[in-house]
Amino acid sequence: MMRRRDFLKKTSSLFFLSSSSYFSKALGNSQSLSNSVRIAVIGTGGMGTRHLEALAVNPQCVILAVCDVAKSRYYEAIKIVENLSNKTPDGYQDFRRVLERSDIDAVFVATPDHWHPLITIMACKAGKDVYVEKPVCTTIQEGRAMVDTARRYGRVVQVGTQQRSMPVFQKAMHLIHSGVIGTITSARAWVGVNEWKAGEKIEPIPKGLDWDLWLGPAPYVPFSKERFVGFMGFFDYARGGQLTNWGIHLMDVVHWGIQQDSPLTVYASGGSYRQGAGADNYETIEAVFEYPGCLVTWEQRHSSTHGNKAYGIAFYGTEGALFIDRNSFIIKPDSKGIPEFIGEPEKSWANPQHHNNFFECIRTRNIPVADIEQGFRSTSAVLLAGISLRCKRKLVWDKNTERFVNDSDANKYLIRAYRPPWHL
Amino acid sequence: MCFFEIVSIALMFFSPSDFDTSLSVELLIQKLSSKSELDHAIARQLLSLKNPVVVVPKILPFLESEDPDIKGTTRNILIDLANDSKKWGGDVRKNLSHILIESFLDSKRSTSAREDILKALIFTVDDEVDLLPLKEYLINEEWREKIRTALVEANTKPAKSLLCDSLDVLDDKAKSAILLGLYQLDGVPCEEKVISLLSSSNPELRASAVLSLSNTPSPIYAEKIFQVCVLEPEISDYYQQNWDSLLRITERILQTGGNWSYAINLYKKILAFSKSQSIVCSAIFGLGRYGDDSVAEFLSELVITSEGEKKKCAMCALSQISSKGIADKLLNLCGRLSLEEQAMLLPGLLRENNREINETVINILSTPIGKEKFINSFWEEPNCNYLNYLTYLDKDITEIQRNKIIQSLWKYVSTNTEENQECKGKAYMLLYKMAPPDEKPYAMSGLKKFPITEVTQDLLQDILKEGYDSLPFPLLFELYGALPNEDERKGRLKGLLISQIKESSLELILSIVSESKYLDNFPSLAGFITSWKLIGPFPWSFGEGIDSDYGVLNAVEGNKGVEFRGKRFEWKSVKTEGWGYVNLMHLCEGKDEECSNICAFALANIKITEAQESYLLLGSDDGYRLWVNGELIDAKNVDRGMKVDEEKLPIKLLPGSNKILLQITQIRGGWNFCARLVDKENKPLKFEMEGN
Amino acid sequence: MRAFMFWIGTFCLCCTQGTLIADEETYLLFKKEKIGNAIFESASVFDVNKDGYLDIVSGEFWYEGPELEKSHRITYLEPIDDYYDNFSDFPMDVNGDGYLDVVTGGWWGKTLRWRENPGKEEKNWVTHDVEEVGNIERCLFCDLDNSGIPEVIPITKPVLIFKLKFTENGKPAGGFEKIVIETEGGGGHGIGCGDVDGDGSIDLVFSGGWLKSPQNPYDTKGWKWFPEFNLGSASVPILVFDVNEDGLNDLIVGSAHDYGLFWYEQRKDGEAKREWVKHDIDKFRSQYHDIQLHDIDNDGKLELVTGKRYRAHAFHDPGSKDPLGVYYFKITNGKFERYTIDYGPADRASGVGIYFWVEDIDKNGWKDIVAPGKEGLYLFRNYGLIPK
Repeated sequence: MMRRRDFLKKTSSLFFLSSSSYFSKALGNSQSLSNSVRIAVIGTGGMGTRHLEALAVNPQCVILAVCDVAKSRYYEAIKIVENLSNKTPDGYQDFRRVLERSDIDAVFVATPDHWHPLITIMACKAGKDVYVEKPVCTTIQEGRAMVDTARRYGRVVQVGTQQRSMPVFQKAMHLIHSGVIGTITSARAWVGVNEWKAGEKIEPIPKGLDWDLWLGPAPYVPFSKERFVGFMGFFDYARGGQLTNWGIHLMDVVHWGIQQDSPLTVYASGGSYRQGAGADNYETIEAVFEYPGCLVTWEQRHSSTHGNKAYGIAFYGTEGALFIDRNSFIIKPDSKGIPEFIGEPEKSWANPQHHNNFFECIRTRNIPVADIEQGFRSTSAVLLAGISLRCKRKLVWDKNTERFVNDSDANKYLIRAYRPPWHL
Repeated sequence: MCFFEIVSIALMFFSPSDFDTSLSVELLIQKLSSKSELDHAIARQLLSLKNPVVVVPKILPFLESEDPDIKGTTRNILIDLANDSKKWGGDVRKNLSHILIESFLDSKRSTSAREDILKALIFTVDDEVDLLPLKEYLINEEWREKIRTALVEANTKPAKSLLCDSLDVLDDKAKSAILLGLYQLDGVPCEEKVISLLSSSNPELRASAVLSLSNTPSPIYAEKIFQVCVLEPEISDYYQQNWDSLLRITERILQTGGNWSYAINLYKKILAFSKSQSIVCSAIFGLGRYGDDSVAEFLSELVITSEGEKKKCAMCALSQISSKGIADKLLNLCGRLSLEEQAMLLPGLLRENNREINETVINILSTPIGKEKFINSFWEEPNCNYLNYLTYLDKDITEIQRNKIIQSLWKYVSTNTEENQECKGKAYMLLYKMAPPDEKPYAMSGLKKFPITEVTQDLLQDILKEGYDSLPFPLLFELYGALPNEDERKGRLKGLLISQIKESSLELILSIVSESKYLDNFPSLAGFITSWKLIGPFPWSFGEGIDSDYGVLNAVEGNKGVEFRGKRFEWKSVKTEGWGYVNLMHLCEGKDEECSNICAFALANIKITEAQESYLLLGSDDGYRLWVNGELIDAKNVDRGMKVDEEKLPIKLLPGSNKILLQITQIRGGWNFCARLVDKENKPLKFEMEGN
Repeated sequence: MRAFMFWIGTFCLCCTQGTLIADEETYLLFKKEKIGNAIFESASVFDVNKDGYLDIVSGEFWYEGPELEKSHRITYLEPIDDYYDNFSDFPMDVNGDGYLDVVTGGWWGKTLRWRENPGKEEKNWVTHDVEEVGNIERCLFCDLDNSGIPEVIPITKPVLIFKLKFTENGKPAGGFEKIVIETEGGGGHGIGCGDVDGDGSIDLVFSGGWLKSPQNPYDTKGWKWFPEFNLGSASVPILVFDVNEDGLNDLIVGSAHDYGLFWYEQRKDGEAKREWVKHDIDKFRSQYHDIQLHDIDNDGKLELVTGKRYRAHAFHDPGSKDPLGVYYFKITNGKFERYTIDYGPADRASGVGIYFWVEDIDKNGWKDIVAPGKEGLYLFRNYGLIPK
């Protein structure tokens, strides 16, 4: 039986906190399930709550702490966990207190986008494994730092692209990889529009909210509800709205199907034509990516549908096409005689199989099914589209140097200055 | 009024030559004041296409608007123009930058407008634009952070030099902020200043200086960072951060190349000197990612001498190294580790393949953690060696684990590596066995392309149900061998096989059948003469040609022996080996001196039913003479290796018995021959052999 | 309890000499630069345009020093599979015009050639064929007659020496004279030169034995063949060097198409038969095609500098998919200690191709390494020992 370590508790250290035991799980015991992974959920807003609901009833883990910059939110979170599991987690406003705890093995990061990189990195350095929501980052430099840090500290980092664990997608991939639609020469991903509007009303900071901590590495601005609740409409926190919200999920599937992970070139165009011309993130977007051997398009538009699906991915191969969303997939032409595959309807955005793969890899120290490097590549694709959108020109991407070729202006978008004292 | 109406009215009053750019800009800017969102959208689209030097001064006032839509749209137009400014050429860009700088400096503007101008400025500046006017704002507390952000994101030479200059005048906290900004950029612009800050008494400043050096792959910087790390007290808030910076620079050095030994030694020093558990483990992981066999030696030692976390880290690191010579070290270690610990070494063990590894892996697979590790490692980094164990593993795994294996197999067969064809065949075979029914057909179509090594009964039945006419040779051959003799389909399969042997390149077919366990079926299918009587070896030399027959010609009838130079020779009955060749080395017992400069004779008795045009396809090492029914047909005195079907010799076969006699010479080295009979269409001849 | 054990563990680790390199370890500081993506396997360094700066020559191009950014074309080479018919780039003024030309040869062309440096003119170099001799793995350049100019020995059988011809006034005459050594020796993969038996004249070493030189190397009947060993598919060159400092020259040999780097110790007891005892230097690396001796760390002693020839036989050789590397071995008392300059997979690290060059290209007093190969052309600039 493995004994716990006592570590020197470091007080108020900013970024590097005592590490918890790396292998306290299972290596001494053969039954993996009898040792639950001790977790904390950081960011208990919409997505965070979905995770809590699933994790609270998952025997492979136990929720020891919840954390949110808004006290009211973490009070709610504590109640949710109590109701579902009869256990009371601790509540924190500052995630650094969570990372200091040596009894926490892994953290779930469900904060707004601009915090994903730094919490992931700091958690890795503190000896925790991390499940980070998508999009993984807002700039290429951040994503690369996340991958580097995960590898440097040998941590398991799973990205919340749960479609990798959904049977409907797995089955479709088996078929695609077996060659049933031939060689894939183009693919498409599509979703509905962004609906952000410009404007915000500056208000005093609500009680119980640590606004400076919410902003973190982003520039300091006064509080507004529009920012706090609608962060996806602001460039400082989310680089593209739907492009980075759904874009990751869908481009991840494209990458999975065509077995590539970096585009050669990207050209994106669009605008806000009906509303929100003053908002940061565009309403209608179309992006074209050239991948080796394959052309990929991303579409974000009003009343979007292809093949009866309001959002989804399509693969066009030399011998047929496959259309898929989270419910089902269908292979055309009908003459191929492959029946439509209808999967289990998605009950929640939090996916227990995806969680369990994370827990299993924590035991075996393997790369999980939605590893950070892969999640970074999927995120990169849409980030690059976002950059091309702003630059209004076709950009050529060098995946080895992780820079645009011959475009120093576009390269400026690859980093964002972090507000001190926060740094990657 | 809609846009087109305005334009058409305007057109009424202005002729095309008057409709210059500034005028349409005015019109478009009017649209900005409109309440219609569509107007804003069009204004943004069209204004963004105009000359920024003309547009920007005119729209800046709108940044002050109270209406969030107007303000927001204007901000977006500004950003658009800035981003797209390159296409207008150097002068326009320069002018635009100056306009923006001037506008920023104008303190009558609102703060938020000035912030927006700053954000646009980032994208118009390049190395030629001087940013000195911004210096006082960098010092000023209210604007400092925003200017710092703009300079870092602008990332031009003047921006960096301004940041560097400010290091002279700012307080420690602000200095630290500047260094964090430089850390995000490439290179170290004011190296001396940064290095001097390494010895600051302020730990935060020290740590920021370390950070800003840590992205450059310089061993000299690494040495300096190491000094700071070693002197930093353990209770310092920046202790871990400094060591992390050292790890980062070590990684950079290894990725860039040129200083491998130095960097590996640095990892070892970090291991020895750092008191932080996670830093020590990270150094160990670094050794695993970049190390070679000598590092593997070091890590094995570490596994033996460490405990707890460090031991686990060392095991994980060790299993990442992929040089030659690791397998033995791992096997040695396994002797000292528990089964659960050995599981951590699986990825390393499975990079090579031998009997000892097989036994060790099978032991490890008896534990649950061993299974989990195996399955996840196969998914992470599949290679051929894993395939052999999957059948063994199949019995005792959960549904989810089986699914994972199937996923990994599909991934394996679909990625385009130059992997062994046989491995892909094995993988398809496993898929066929393990995949759910709706995926089996796809596994089957994959199987048709790769050689398979065993045919199960269900596979057999499925293939036969489907029809086998268009199956490729490898699969057909396996089927033929797997079918019981009584099966009536066997004859049909034989016909298909024979027609393929006729058509395809025989060498390729030989390489395929040599791997099959049904190899014995092949010779007769291809028409090889498999039963021979041999006599010899007789002394012979290359120089004298092949003239003498040593009296063997007279010994062909009735099994008579031969006496030559006082030695007695008798006929020996042999059968062909492998795919159908005769190995004559048996006659001389394979001893070098005795197996050179000799020759021997081979006799076969062929029975056919009716005379027809036939050919003997012969390959020989070395030379030969051929008699058919006593008549000398052909001779060749050569020094060569045996190549199947090398000679095509037309022969006359009579109905009934025919005697085929070959004399095969041996200079040195290999000594063998192969002979088969075909008809005029190159199809294997139907014949019977004596001794069959 | 565990914490205590951890501290003891570290402390012991610090003490054990074998596992931790002592702090006195000094390393050379190299800066790695990619000169070009071209995949020629040979390179050399000399002043092509006589501007006082050393340039790099490799295959079809030469790169102008000191920045090494501008490239000029020398000639056009046809690719054959994944090779080019250019396995050396040796500088030699063949026609006496004061500009160094390049002597080369390759496997498919079977011809010894030299390419004429056009001097001040910017045009392609004219390639002159010297003679068709047979498949050239890589020429050996060796000064057999102490004239100061090396002779060229392109193949191992027959043993041919190509000597630069001179005019009456001692200028190079633009051609070579061929001397055929009469012997049944030679042959196989690998060739080297050096004084094997210590009699003052330079002998030739082959995979299957060594050829003892007469006093006059051009006495074609005077060479004696001693088939005293079998080195397998050996490196080019095979080095003749006294490894264990016992007065007898030993051989250092790399395995050009398989695993291994070895040295063969010469043992001779008076008049007794000469013996060669094989020792392993490195069993786990393969394709040691080119090996050279240079004093790379300015310690007054020669080090063995070498590396992997990537895809020496496409992917058919054992170990062809192993990581690449550039190494040097310090030789002390018969022991070889390996220092690795570069190591890693082919898309990140460098090997040394079939013909690499060591020279102080930037004149800072430390020898740099030019490493060509199918993975790219790299320059490792040497800045001396890393200060502690």
